[in-house]
Amino acid sequence: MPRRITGLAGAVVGTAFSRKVGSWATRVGRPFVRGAQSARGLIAFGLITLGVLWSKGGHAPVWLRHLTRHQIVRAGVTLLPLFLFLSAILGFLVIGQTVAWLSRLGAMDYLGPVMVLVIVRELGPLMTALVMLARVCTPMVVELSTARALGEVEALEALGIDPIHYLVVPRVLGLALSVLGLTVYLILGAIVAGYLWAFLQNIPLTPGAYFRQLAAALSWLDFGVLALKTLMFGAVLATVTCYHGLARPLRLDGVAPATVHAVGQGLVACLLLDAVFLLLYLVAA
Amino acid sequence: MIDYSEASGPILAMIHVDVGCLQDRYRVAVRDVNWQVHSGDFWIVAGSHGSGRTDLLLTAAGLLPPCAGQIQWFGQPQPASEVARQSLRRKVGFVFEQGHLLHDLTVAENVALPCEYHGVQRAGSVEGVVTRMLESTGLRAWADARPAALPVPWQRRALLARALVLQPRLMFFDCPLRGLDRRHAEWWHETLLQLHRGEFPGVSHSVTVVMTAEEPPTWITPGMGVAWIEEGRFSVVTSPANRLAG
Repeated sequence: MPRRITGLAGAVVGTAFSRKVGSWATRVGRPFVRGAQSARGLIAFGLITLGVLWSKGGHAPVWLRHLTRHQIVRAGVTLLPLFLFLSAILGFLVIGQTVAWLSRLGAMDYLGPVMVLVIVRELGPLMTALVMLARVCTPMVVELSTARALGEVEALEALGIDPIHYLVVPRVLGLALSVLGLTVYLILGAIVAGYLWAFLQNIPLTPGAYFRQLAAALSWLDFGVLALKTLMFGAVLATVTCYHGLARPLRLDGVAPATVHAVGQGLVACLLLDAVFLLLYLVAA
Repeated sequence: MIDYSEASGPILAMIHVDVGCLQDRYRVAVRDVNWQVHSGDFWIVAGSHGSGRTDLLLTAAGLLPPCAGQIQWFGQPQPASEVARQSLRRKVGFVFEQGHLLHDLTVAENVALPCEYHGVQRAGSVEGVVTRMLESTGLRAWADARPAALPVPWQRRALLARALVLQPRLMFFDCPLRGLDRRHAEWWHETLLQLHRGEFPGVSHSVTVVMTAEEPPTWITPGMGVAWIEEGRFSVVTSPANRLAG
């Protein structure tokens, strides 16, 4: 009898343990499965977009140019004042911190390399992408998912217009070019603002010497990777935004969750892409 | 390339089609639809709200894939290539009940979009086509307005104008008479008949009309076909008289 009780208790404890392990596995596994499904959907959507870009790139060129220009104005040109402000702040912050330390160490020759390392390679592209995510992609996913819920995708299909060609391709092209342009703008602004800050701090550095330091620190790899990285940031952000705005037959109550998912996944995608480019730098160096 | 205009026999044939639901792709809205629409027909598909009228219409227009069965347009199955798909879309028009206008374009731009996108008209004449269509639908005063500014009856007219610029042969109307006051209802009644007779200004040929309604309208004539959707079943009540006679 006591053995039977012990066995029963063991079975109960065993069942409770397996339930606990099971629920823990479910809790850990579910986000992984969801993440994998999302990644698969995003990659499939990206490949479809690439396919449409390849196969219909020359179709309705007037409209494609018009829509892409509209996206560039919306995502790029209207953000120029904000980026002027950000570049000034970024330049002041980086130079302010750097100068304080380098002047103590007597290593002012490293000002250029530090600017290249921090602003050109890392902060410039990443900050542009994150601002773009907050300022452009968030309203875009709301706009697209509302349009989807109100039947604009069916309307385009009824007219024989490929919704990917009309809605997604211009956004991918527009955002890719806008992130590239704004990053260059941000970097140039930060470099100029950085020198102004150094000048105000009475650092004995002529503009010529400062720009020579920058030029010496820059390599062709920097230009190539900067262009590739920013274009990919823009394209990935647009793909994530359009995927969440359009991929599912949404109702209006699905707009808010779609926006939340788009912002979260856009952020993760940018950080992962940045890590990939860091590895590329390390391998190339 | 498939020529959808050269068809003998039905211009729409649904064979044992299970119609899916737009909002829930795993649900079948209407089962086992067997239906033929011939050139020159005027069909009214009636059914209560939520019966699957719109899903049936979207499926018949090729905008919603069927859960099962086969659909043929102008004697051809579902187009496989993009060129064939676009060719079919120019022959089949769809007028939604409301909304479905591109919100960032004006009414005139919405109407011009299909022509400009497909390059159907030369650049110089698109404006003329759009102006004529806006006049035919009484939308001239709303040409520069955004869709959100339009009352629902006028939105529906804008949808009609946009669908007609591609000169379709077969047109689907999703509840065109719903929620209209007497003036608009009379305009739509006259317009549907004019389109069917080939007398609508700006459209050079007669159009085969398929429309949905909650109840068959009072102006129904013996020449029109009537079908009902009830409890997920599609049944033809009367076929168009001209076809039976022919």
